[in-house]
Formats: sequence, structure tokens, C-alpha cells
Amino acid sequence: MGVSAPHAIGASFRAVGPAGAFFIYMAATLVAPTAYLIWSSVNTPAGLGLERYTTVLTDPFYLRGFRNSFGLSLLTALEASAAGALLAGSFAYTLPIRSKRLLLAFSNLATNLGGVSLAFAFIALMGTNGMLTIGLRELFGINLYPGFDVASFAGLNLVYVYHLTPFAFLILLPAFRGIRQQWIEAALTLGATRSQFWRHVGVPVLWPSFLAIFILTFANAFGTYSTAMALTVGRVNLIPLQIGFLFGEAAFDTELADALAVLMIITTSLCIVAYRALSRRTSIWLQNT
Amino acid sequence: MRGNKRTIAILVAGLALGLPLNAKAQQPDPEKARTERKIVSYGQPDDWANWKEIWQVFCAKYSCTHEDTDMTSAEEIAKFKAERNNPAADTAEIGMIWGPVAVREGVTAAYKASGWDKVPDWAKDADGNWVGLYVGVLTFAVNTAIVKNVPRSWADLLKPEYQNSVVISDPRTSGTGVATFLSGTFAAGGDEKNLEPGFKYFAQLYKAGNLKAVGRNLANVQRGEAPITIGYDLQAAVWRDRLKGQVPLEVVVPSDGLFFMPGALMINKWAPHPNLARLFADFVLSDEGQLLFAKGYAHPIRVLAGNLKLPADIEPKPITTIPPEAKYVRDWNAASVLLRDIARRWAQEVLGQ
Repeated sequence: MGVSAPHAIGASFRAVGPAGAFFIYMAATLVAPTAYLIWSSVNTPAGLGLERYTTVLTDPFYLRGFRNSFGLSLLTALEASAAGALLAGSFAYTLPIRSKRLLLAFSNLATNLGGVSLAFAFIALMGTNGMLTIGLRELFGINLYPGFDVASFAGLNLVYVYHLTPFAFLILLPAFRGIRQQWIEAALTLGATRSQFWRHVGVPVLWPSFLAIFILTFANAFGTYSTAMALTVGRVNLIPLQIGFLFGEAAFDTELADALAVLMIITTSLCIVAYRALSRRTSIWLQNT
Repeated sequence: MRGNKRTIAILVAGLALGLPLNAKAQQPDPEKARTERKIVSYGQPDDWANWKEIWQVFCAKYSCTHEDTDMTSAEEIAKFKAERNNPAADTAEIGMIWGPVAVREGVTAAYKASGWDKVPDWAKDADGNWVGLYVGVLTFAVNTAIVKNVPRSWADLLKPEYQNSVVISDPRTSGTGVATFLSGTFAAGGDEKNLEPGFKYFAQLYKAGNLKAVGRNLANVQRGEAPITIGYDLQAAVWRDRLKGQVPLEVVVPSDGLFFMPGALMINKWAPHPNLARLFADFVLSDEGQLLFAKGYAHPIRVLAGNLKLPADIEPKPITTIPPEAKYVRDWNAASVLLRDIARRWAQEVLGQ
């Protein structure tokens, strides 16, 4: 007995150890801060209440912020996932091997270059004194400014798409690989045309993956703070920026920021739930590949 | 049981004795200060207002070490409050507009330093929760290699020739941004109780396309990305000196209204080194401490009040002298109430969001 007890503990630690450590880590870094945010957003001077949420959701200024955030993210997600799908399609079926290597290398780089450094790269390229701005002006007499401004919604859209297209491409690639060459050959042998194959088999199989990547890129764009802040210095009304300003020097209201943050968490959580459901549907087709 | 009662009686007696001792802890004890050995500050960094030398001289006197973490006034108040059970910092420099907020939040220790009486009334809290140390004048730092026709006034900045050239700090995130906004407001005929002219002026400046969307910092000035920056003279002068030989910077005091804002000191209510903190407050209001600010291009508050004279041979020379008709905020309570307005209305009325 005295010997077996520590042994049992050792065995059960081996069984749950790594997972247990992971859960403790998640509790400390994800669950606890979220719980604190929620608590602090409803903890008003007059007791528990939702008045901060009514403040935010009835204020035209924050509603505009939400509309801008949704609009920018939806547009970005649509562009990035469509471009990502085209890239993945051509990668899987048409590209020569050398271009494939180049595309993969570039995509890995671009997906991992984000945040402030990405914003500064674009300022160096297309800012008022950017290389492209000056090059176009000096060589071709084309003036980017004032028609275009990197510190605007159009600029943000461009930068987000640059960052998220390779991301969408890399995530979509396995799905395209799941459309096996044998399926196409079988369909062709039975008299179908290529476009018929895609319409009746290819696209229906890929559709959930496409929706999933759309949701994922939406959530990614929706939650971006540092790129947007560095690029526009706060000139656009996006909810992540408003959360930052509520921690700033003038309007110091961290509880209102907490309420905005909880609303963002709800939005992105819904995205994750939808993504999970959709990727389960896709995985049925990809299991045996 | 009886033993317990005796313990309680001793504790109560101790508390009763402790009370007057606590009240007396208001005054710093130099002996105790020597055992504290360390002083920690927020928002008093080496490269601002000559804090570096001030800390060096102070710590040489009281054989202490010093640490600073730079942050905004709002963060200072939030940190004092959040850390009250495990306090880290003793003092902080605070924008005076935040003084009343700090008092409302209850994070300050009331202490009237030995130079207290020599600070003008408008620049201190009546109970000693915060006290002004120096003032900075809002100026334009103009890169004359890029801007040939140097702007001389706030009105000049509206001209089309300064398209995409004026760089300011965001009043929503920065103390200098708030000061810039107030400076423009006073120049446009407003004051701390009437911000209307300020919003009109900056909306006009923004719509004209003259405000450039880059960060206001030394790197951007050096790269030529920020042709005209607006900020305190004490910072502009340091930038000018540091960029000597690389970027020709002219520091301009706007002709349509010299406006200044004070920097103030507050002591953490829960300061872990309370004696050093109070001795430090005494030191920065002493003749010696005050003149050290001037070496960092700041204008010592007692020079402004007229009870301390700058030596004729002071180096470096200040950017400007402050005339009696200079504009400044007199009612900090009113200004502090309007802070939230500034943030919101800046987004809506200036940036049109």
C-alpha cells in the first residue's frame, strides 16, 4: 500500500501531466483574464449591471466603430480567402515545381510578418516618402498622393490582404490536395467535363473549407490592433483602436474598454465555433488522403 | 484567556501610540531615509527635464539608488492604485491636469514640501497632494532643410504650404497631445472652460490636410518624416542639440500666444520608501533642485514665481523667457473635468469619425 500509492500518483501524473500543465497554463493566460474582463465590465459603482453595454451599444460613435471594424474585416476576409483559393488551386494543379517552392517560401514569410513591422514596411514602401511613391513619381510621373493614403481604410485593407492571403493559401492547400487526381480522372472517364467535375464535386467539397478560411481571416482582421495603430496613428474608428484609446491619457475608462473587449471576444468566439463546425464537415473528405 | 486579553490590550495600546507617530510620519526622517536606500519613480525618465542629473545629485546626498519606469499620467494613477497592497513606486511626475484625478482616486500622500510656500497657488493642490515643479512652453520644432518658410504662429500652420507637414501627438493617448490641444485652444481664443475654438481650429487644420499621420518622435524628425512637430520646448531643444550637424531644427515660440503647462510631483500614498520620497519633494523645490531643471531646458516654477533667479551665466540658455502675459491653465479642476470631452470630441469633431 505504502509503496503503491506514490506509484499510482506517478502513473496518474504521467497520464494527465502534460495535459494538466496545459490546462493550468490555459486557465492562467486565457480563462482567468477573460473572466476578469467580464467581471470588471459588469461591476459598476451601483452594483452588478449591464449599463456599460447599453452605453456602448447606444452610442453612435462606437456603433460606427463596430460597423467600420465589421466592414473592413468582411471585405478583407472576402478578398484574402478568394485570392488564397486561387493561389491554392493553381498551386495544386498548374504551377511548375520551381514556382511552387517560391510561392511556399514567400507565403511562409508573409504570414509570419505581421504587426508593427508590417505596417512600417508598407510606410517605407507606400508612405508619403515611400520607395514606391517616389519611384512612381520620379520615373512615370504618377502621384499616389493625395488620391491614396496608406493611413486610411484603403491602406489598411491593402496591408491586411497582403498579410492574410498567404495565410489563407497555406490553410487551404491541404483541402485542394484532398481533391484527388483519381476523382478527376474517374469523372473524365465517365464522360464529365472538367467544369462539370468542379461544379458538382470539387466546389461542394471545398466550399466548407473556403467558408472556414473566410471566417478565420475575418476574425484575424477584426482583432488586429498594432498594425492598424502603427499604420493610421488612430485616424480611423476601429473598435480595437477605441479600446486602446480608453486606456490612453485623456479618456481613461478601462471598464468601458473591458465592455468593448467582451463584445469583441463574443464575436471572435462565434467565428471559432463556426470554423470548428465547418472544418469538421471538410475533414470527412480529407480523412483518407 | 487572560493571556489573550493581555495581548489585545498591548496591541490596542500600541495602536494608540502608533497613531500620533503615523501623523508625524508626514515629516521625513533623514535617519530612516538612509536605511531605505532606494527610491522608485514613474514617469521621471533620464531624458526629460534633466531628471537624470537630478536623481544623481539627490541619490549622492542620501546614498540611495534610483529606478524609473516611464509611463503616462493615467497609467501612473492606475498603477499606484492597482499596486496598493504591494506598492513599488514612491513618486511620479504627473501632468497637472491629472492632479485632481489622482486626488479623486485617492492615490496620493498629502505632503507640503519645504519649498511649498514659494510655489504659486495655481500650481499646487491646496492640501499638498501634488505640486508644480517646472513649466514647459509649447513650441514648433521646424526642420529648416525641408520647410523654407518657417511658420511663426498657430494661424500660419493653416496655410496650404504646410500640407502634410505638421506632426502632433494624439491628445487621446499622450500628455503632450493634450498640452498641444490646449495650446492651440488658447491661441484660438478659448480656455480650459471653453474648448470650442480649439476643436474648430484643429478640425480646420486636419481638413486642410496639414496634419501628417506619423508618430511624433526623434526618429521621424531625424528621417525628415516630421517636418514640423509641436511639443514642449524642453524636448524640442534636446532634439535640436542631439541632431546638430544632421538636421537643422529651429524651435519657434508661436507669436499668437505663448502657452505653458506645468509638470507636477505626486507622492504615492503607499510609498515603500516614504522618507526618501518626501526628502525628494523637498529637494526638487530647493534652489539647487530647481536650477537643475533649467539645465534640462525646463523653466523652474520658482523662477516663474519670481522668488528664484536664474544665474546670468546659466548653460544651456532657455529657449524663451516667459512674459507675464503668457497663457496658462488656472483652474485645474475645470480642465480635468473636460479631459474626457477632449478624447471623444477629438475623434468626432476633428477626425470626423
